[in-house]
Amino acid sequence: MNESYLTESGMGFRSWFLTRDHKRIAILYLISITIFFLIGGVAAGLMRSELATPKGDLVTSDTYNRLFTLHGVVMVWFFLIPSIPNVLGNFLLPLMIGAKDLAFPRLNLASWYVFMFGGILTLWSIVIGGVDTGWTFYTPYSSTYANSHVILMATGVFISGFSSIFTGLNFIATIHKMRAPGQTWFRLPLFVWSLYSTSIILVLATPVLAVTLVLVALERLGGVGIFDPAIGGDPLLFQHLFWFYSHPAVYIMILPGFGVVSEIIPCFSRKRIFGYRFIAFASVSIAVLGFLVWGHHMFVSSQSVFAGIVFSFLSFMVAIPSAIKVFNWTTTLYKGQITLSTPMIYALGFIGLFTIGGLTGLFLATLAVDVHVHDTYFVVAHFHYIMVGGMVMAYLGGIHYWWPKITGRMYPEKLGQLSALIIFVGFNLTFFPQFLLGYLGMPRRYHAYPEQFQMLNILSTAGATILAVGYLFPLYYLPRSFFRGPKAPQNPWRATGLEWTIASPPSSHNFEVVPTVDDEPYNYLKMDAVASSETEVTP
Amino acid sequence: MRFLTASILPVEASEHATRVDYLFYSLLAVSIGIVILLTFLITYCIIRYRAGSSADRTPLKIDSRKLEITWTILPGLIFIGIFAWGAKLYIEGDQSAPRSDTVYILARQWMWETRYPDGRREHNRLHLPIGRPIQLLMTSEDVIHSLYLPSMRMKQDVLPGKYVSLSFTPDKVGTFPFYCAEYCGTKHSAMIGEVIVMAPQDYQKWLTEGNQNQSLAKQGGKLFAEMGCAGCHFPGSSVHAPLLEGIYGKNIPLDSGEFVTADETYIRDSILLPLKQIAAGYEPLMPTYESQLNESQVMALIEYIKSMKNDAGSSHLELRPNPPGTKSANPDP
Repeated sequence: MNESYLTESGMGFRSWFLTRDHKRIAILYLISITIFFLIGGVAAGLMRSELATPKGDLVTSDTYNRLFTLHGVVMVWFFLIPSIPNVLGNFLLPLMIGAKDLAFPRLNLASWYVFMFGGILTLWSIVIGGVDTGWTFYTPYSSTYANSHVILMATGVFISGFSSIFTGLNFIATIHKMRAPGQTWFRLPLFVWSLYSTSIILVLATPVLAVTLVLVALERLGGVGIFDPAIGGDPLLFQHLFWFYSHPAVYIMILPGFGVVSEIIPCFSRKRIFGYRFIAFASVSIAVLGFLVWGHHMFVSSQSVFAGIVFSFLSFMVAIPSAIKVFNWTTTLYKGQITLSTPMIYALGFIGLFTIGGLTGLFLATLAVDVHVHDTYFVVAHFHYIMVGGMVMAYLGGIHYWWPKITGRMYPEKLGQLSALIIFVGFNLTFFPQFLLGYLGMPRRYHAYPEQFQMLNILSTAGATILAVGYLFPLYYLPRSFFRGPKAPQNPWRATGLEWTIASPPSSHNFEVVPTVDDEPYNYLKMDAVASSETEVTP
Repeated sequence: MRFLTASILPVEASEHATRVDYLFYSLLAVSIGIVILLTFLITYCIIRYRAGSSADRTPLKIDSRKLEITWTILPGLIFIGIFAWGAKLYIEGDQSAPRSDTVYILARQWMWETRYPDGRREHNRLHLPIGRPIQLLMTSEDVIHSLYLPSMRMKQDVLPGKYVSLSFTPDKVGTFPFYCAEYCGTKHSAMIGEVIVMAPQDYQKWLTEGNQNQSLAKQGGKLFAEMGCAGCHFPGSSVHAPLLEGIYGKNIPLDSGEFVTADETYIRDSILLPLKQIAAGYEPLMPTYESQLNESQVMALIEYIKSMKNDAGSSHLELRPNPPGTKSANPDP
């Protein structure tokens, strides 16, 4: 077997934990966020079990409140935000632009350590008793009233934020300075465009979260009146600051997914992506407009009517680039040569679920409708369609698509297709009933609920069981294929892109010679034409 | 069928609810249309253009730029339409002008206290007359709560340190649930109650029968005297303090040069946090009553100050403030 990044510098402890190789750091992230995903998933499973019956009989209210806080904090900051950028982005960005590594390899390793330090503090706060504020840390509950380990968990989140900033800076510098000769901006794969947009948000928004958490700590520890009106503060100030970060953060949690889907669909349609520039600019405009819509989380907060109207309007505007993307992906399929391999099933599932998530986002942007469904299960269903139906589907699709490149092995295709379908069905059964629950008026974060909501809750819990089974499949067959799977060729999907021109898995230094790019991305017609002329010549 | 209506179609108990549902179902129709269209297109492509099929694949001669512009502008126009519709309903729902019937609500971990101007007071229940515009004036004693009336399609966060208002007109007699929708701690999911919408005559009967209390304004008047407010806030006082008759709803010039409307929040702050906003032309002499009055008492004082009008005619006005200084301000023990 050829030497690869997996073997070249040995398998010792130091070779992994002091590595500066972006590919190895990606593996460190892959393993860490999988563990966080499992922790967050167990919390979700306990919540769904509790909600199978209307009475709060499985766990106490305090435990339930800690469970949803744990689920939210871990899934948002320790799984979703780092998922595609830090695993697939770390691994692929240098490969896609023909570079040896990211611009700042040491900063990249530091970002993982900072991330793990924040993560461990957060887990520690859970072990010693948990936090019951919800992942949103609303004041003055979090700053004055909550009787739990708010400061410790907030510190964990605060620290992990630096990891986001490091990664964002690293990606921006890399994309600007390290592209291969000939790789102009419009020859970049769309995945790189989406990472670029994501990085802008990471760098600009995360500091606001840090400031906000520091202010909460100042009030909680020092009694400085910032958010609690009893000591002269303003509770809405917190919401403005928090959503100024957290709404753009929603786009951190979906833009990279757009990028992955934009790679998979042309490959399994054997066609150039439709509307390349529109998709690229849509990512950038989402990143920019995403900063201007935070107030749509506050339509019933006693924010002024005028502010409500402005934020509602801007929220509709940010939906336009998302719609453009969906239309372009769909058009890409037209007159293609479509194969339903596992990554493609995930990508098509993504389009479906993201469309439903996006359309229900319009309901929430509509002022009078939001007043009714705000803080109900309708919202819960909506953002899970975006973040789980969208981002997790894209993440799994990407993991399968690049698995041969990352590990040098093929995953079992039939099992992959089957689990993608199970996840799609389980997901819909879990979250679709929650739209109905929300419209019927079931508020979120309820430990016990009135009996008329039970039927739909049972459906949702049943769906969650199927979804969990679906997630366990790849968790079993992917690691197994790493050791026993058939060896992967250099380019198993006959895909375009620089990452497919080198060995699977790549060597430590990625490229033997610096590649040059002289063509647009996704030129599948040319690729297939060359391939067929080669097969004609061979006999 | 009953199961279906109960679990798919929520109860509508106000005209606003019907209008919101109409908008909701229209949005739903548009969304279902888009989902069906996309599902059809994707399924069609997957089947017809499956790898190796004999379908014709000669590239189409279409202007892709025109296509892109079409599917940018078209959704944009639809979005603007929906936005305008939703905003219109939102503005109509937010008629913050005083309504004919006012009920005060005080939220605290984890219960709702309802106070009627006539003096009745109850917990986790809200009695309302049918067909009359209602204004709820709400504040919280601790964290943020949110009053959520699904049957009215209405929701409003209830904040500490601030009075917020929620207006609607129930048009169906019956009992409907309300919830706390903003997470507020351990027993958040137990912070629920019932709205009981009654025929006007039943409501009047309910308001008076079993009511042991004086009207809310009278309770406030009593406090006004007990706390010595009248010592300064009367025309002949040696202390230069603003007169409160008719002050409610006025535009007050502040020391800082700004103007503020003397609404419930302003009156509350003036009692509890008097240094926050100083009325122009007055010395900051008012002491804080933060340690002496709770939100519930402040609520009564607000209602009393609102009832202090220069002109007669309001239902609360049998209670004119007694001449200050005289201890007989409270006829009741």
